[in-house]
Amino acid sequence: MTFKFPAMPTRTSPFWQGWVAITLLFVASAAFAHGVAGGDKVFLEQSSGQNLIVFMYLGAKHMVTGYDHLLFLFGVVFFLYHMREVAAYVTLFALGHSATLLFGVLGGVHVNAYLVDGIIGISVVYKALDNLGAFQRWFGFQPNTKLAVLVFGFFHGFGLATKLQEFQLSPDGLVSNILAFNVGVELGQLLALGGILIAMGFWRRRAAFARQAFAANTLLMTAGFVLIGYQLTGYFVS
Amino acid sequence: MNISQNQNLPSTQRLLKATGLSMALAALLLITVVMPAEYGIDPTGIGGHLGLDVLGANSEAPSSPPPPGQVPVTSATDGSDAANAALAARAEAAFGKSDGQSLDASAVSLVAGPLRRSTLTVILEPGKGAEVKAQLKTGEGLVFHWTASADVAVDMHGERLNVKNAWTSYAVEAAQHESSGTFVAPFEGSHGWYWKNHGAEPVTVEVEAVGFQPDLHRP
Repeated sequence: MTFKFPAMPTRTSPFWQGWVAITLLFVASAAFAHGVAGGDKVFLEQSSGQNLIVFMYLGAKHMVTGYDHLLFLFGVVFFLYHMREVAAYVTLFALGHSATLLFGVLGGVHVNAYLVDGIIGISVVYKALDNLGAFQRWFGFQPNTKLAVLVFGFFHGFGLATKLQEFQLSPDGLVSNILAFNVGVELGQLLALGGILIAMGFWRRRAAFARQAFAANTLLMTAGFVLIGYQLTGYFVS
Repeated sequence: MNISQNQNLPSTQRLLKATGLSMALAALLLITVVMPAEYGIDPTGIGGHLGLDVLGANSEAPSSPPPPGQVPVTSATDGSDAANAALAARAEAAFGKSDGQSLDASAVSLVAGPLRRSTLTVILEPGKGAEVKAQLKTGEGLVFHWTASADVAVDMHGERLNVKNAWTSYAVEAAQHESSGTFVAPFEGSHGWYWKNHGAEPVTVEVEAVGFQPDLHRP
């Protein structure tokens, strides 16, 4: 079967170029971040026995390239100014997603990947609204933020589990491999978090931060809605 | 902690406006870019203008149904050169170069998940027919065995996804009470049997299938 790419339109207006620029990130990352890349899949299905370093690497890679987890993490640390607070929230998030990652893979609990990823999209919208003070404004109080991070962490963990469950993993060495994957996820999260915090640090020192905080969280919410729509569409067409 | 740390809590009106704006922007992005690129759904045609539909067109979800009535060439054959090249590389890495080795990667379709067994019993009243099906993708298969308490007419066949009133027959008998075999799906769809009882007494049909996707069901 031959497959020909239709030629790209040669004359593209600035309007179209704008759309491409805005969405390049989404589409490009969607192509390789959702799920595990092809070469990794071959390895995962053919390996047997303990491969701690490799599974750790794959866990870290999944987290660093997993834009849905990163968006949520970005929302969580947006208004955290002290390292101690960041550590507390990230620990809760890690506890939450580790619990369901291990429970899902080792307990053989299968959840629908599209629905779980849709809920992860909801977690991004939730955190953006929370940051904007919407719940405080609408209900008169801010729902417990630590509890929210833990509960949404559970869903992120199921999301991680569904990615691993797409493969036929050898039962030989499974437990230690999954634990290594989990450790990798945490390492990748710390790495990504480091990058986010450095960028946030520079941003916060600028006077414009206060003005841009509203717009930034509105954009974060937009990304969350796109994730929800993307996953729900997948759920209904597949 | 939230935005009220460094400014006044935004008004309800401003918050609703922001929420509405982000939902509208998200919907716009979804319809013009994400859905065409990811699923080949392009209601506005903008995805096509951007050339993004080439990504979605390659996805399996909303593929246009193949013409009914003929067995299509399986995708395994399409990719056989690439698959055999990958197999050759893997063989050399694992065992070194060996003379006398030829390759046919299309002979096996690897699957994830445990081997399962599925059984179903159907009772056919006189003059009535019934179907038992399993949902299979191209290249997936099952080993089957069925018995009937009396002779029945049988059409073993498959139907493509989203195609109505058309099917492909694999084996047809006017009167049969037992059959066994190995089946490999030539296309994605629901595959199985239609039995009809031409006798005067009710007939019980028991089907058994072993495979990776043998979820026998009555459509």
